[in-house]
Amino acid sequence: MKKLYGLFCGLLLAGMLLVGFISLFDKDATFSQRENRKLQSRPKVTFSALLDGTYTTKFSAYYTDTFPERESLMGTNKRLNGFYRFGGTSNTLVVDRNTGAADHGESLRDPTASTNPGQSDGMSGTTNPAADTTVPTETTQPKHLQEAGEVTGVTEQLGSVVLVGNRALDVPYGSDALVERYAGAVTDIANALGSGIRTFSMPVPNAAAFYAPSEYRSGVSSQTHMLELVRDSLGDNVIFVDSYTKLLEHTEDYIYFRTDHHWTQLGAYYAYQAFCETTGLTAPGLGGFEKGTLENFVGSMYTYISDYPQSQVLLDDPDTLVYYRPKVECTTTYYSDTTLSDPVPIGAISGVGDTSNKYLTFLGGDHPITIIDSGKEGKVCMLIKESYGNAFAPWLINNYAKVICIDPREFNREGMPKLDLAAFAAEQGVSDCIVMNYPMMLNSENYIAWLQRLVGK
Amino acid sequence: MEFSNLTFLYLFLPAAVLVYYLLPGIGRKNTALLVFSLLFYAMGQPLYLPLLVLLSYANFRLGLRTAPGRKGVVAGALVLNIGVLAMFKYLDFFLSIFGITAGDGGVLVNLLGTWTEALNKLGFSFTKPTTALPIGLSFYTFQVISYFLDLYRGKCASETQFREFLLYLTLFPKMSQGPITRYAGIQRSLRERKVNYALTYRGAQRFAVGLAKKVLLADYAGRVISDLAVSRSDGNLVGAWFSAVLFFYQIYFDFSGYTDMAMGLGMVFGFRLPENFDLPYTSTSITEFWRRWHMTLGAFFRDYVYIPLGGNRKGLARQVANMLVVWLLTGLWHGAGWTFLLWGLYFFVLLTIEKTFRETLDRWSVPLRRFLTTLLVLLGWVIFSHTTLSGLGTALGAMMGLHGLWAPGLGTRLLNSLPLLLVCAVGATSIPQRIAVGFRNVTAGRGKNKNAVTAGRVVYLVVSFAFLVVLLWLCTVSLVGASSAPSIYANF
Repeated sequence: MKKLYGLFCGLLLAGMLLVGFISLFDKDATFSQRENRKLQSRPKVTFSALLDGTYTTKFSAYYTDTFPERESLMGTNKRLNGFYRFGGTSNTLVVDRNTGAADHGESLRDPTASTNPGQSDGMSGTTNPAADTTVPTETTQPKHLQEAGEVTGVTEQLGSVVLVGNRALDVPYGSDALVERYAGAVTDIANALGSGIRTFSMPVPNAAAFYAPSEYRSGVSSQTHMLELVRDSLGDNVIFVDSYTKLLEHTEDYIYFRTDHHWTQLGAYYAYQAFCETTGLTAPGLGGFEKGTLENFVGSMYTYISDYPQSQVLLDDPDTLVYYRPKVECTTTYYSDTTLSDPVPIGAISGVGDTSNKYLTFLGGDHPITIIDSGKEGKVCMLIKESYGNAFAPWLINNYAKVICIDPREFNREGMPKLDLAAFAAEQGVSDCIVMNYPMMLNSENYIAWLQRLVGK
Repeated sequence: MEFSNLTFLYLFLPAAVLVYYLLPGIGRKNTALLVFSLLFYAMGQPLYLPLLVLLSYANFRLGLRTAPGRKGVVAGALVLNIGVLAMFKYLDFFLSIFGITAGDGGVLVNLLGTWTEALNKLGFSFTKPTTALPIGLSFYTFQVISYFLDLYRGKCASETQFREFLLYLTLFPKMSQGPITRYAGIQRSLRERKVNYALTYRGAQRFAVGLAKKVLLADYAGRVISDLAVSRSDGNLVGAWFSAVLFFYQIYFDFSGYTDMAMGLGMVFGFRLPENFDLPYTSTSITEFWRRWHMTLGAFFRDYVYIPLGGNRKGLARQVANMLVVWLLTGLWHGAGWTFLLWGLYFFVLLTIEKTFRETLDRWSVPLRRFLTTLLVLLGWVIFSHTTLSGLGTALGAMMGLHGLWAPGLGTRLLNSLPLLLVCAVGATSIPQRIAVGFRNVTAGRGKNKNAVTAGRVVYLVVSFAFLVVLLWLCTVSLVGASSAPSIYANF
């Protein structure tokens, strides 16, 4: 028996040594398709890192990321997770978010990356004067994402992803104190812009407000409470736009994606109707718009829960993205800062190539400044937004000569350009300013700080 | 460095085992094991390695001068080691009693931070430390104390070789989280180990089981607890109990899993480390629980504090006072904080009640006693798991239903965690052990000659090997999917 024991011990050791040998000398993967993220690279050996112990930590992270057959092991891990997140017969699942506010935003084009002008958009819709000229880049780990938590020094916890049937919902956890601070930040913007510019606050609900089971629509997750608290906490110089009531009338329509955390352009349209009713503008009917569709859209909510077998239901039943091209002849351009010196043409409805994130169809994703310009004389609207604003902005060109979209996450931070919002608005002749955000941002300390910095607070 | 880490499993460990088994002679094997042990330490806290070696050398020299009855040297050694422990672990706590606080992190962390800044101005790029406690210092100190007290009592002779002495203190399987090993119990093994593949194989089995307890049970329970906290689902009656039950299992599988890994690794290198757990969650009294939980710590306090103070030999009042001292020290050993002291006091009160009403309690049915013991231990872990009294108050309030009964999503969370809870509940009983022993007896147990190859033994070996490989593979899968959390007892 001794020899047999020795043989089995030897077998085990040989197996572990073999894995260890392969792990050190195989070619390291640099990107994970499954998780859609860059993998850690081998850390550099430095005297300081060796001595303070950080080298070991970094090496361990790199080693785990580049372990042999990692993608296949991750597939097995998904099945293992099915055991730890048992869904029963109803396939239900709750996964908590532990990433920062900016995680909810759309991927930004890396400003240093070259563009790909002239690529076909591969869409079924017809082209128009605002034809696409650029394929948006799906950057997996934008700088701002890595910096989440810069204000508090901790990563923000914003909510849970709840899978109900074939729909994954992004359930927020609200904080009255933060929502009140958010409203205060919007009021600060209104104060800075002055009485010559009308400021609208337009917090918008996400799908969980309508489709989540009632328990996820109450207490700290009550979006109606969050929106009402914003309304009640705003200064007198801010006009509140109630989008919730309008969207509630259309819950039978396809107003939110099921596999992605965004609304559809139709959902954004109903919010636009609410805006028009508040401001006395006229929203044109949908009949006159050219429509196009993109099939097989499996969005961020799937990515977030893809480690769990319950997510298969989303993969089996993907979303269809329907877009409406602007009727008004216009050009859409994005810029990296307020000098507007580096224009990059993009479509209001843009081609997304073969990227999986089809929501980038709208304005090509998030950029520091995006301007939709009809080339006519007339009123200028400024939209301060995150990615929810991208599907909304193209509707505004029906009523404004120019729509300027600002992403507050891209300014007044280390390594990013400065923006004095009041000065820029005056320079651009802005008459109306809309601050549009979805619930995660109303409860994000970081996002609130980024809003405040726009007006020097 | 943690055992539940891919770099340990597939780089450090196989390299250490290979070198150890290839080298001939106990002396070379000890040298190799010592080098790997110091490397293991250096991969966690390299800056403290010189402190560890220097302190050990001082202890070695003092040990050479210690003999039965020589109080002075022993007292000096105790002051030195307890002083070092107090400085790193208790300084801030004691200062806070007098209202002195040193800001975030404490005196030593700030001091190290200042030094780091100064060095960085000279061109280095050190990361500021967030903790000042050397890994395993509490375990180290207790082993040294036992060494000197055993020398003083004549229970063992001084170690004459620094290599062996340092190896006893820094042996990587047990260095960071025990079990607390007495020199007298390991003295022979330091010089007379022989390669025994049956023992090596049992060690590998025990290691794999421990790794699975940590990675496949404790870590997942910890993740659900964390999710409950961040989603604010644990601030109500059901959520708070759900979280408490999960922690009850997490701490058991975390620490007992670590001990299994330590003991398994010990066997792989020819050492038999002392048992630390004996199915504590099957206990029918608190007294029994503490005979089965962290047994080496309990034995330490019994032999080096409780009995020297008089134990139960000097009347009931003195016995109760001795117990109070032991349990306050037990609380403090786990951490420098009021909740740890309260935790120790809690068990002192429970044990005193048990001693007082033992006859009455013994008449109660076994299931009732087991249920009450489980409940009281669980409440004890609630105290243990909070670092502030206010946080503890909130948690206990939630468990009493003072902050609501339910939170959104709890139903789904409970459903999602049902298999985990079931496996934990069964895993903490004697059932897995009985199945394993039963299988071994049925297959490998027959035959008078232990070395004879029988069909049953081959079946046992093949099946148990397959089980071992499956466990290792599942742990690898899980570790690739998500890194393992640091062990709870790594903080002590």
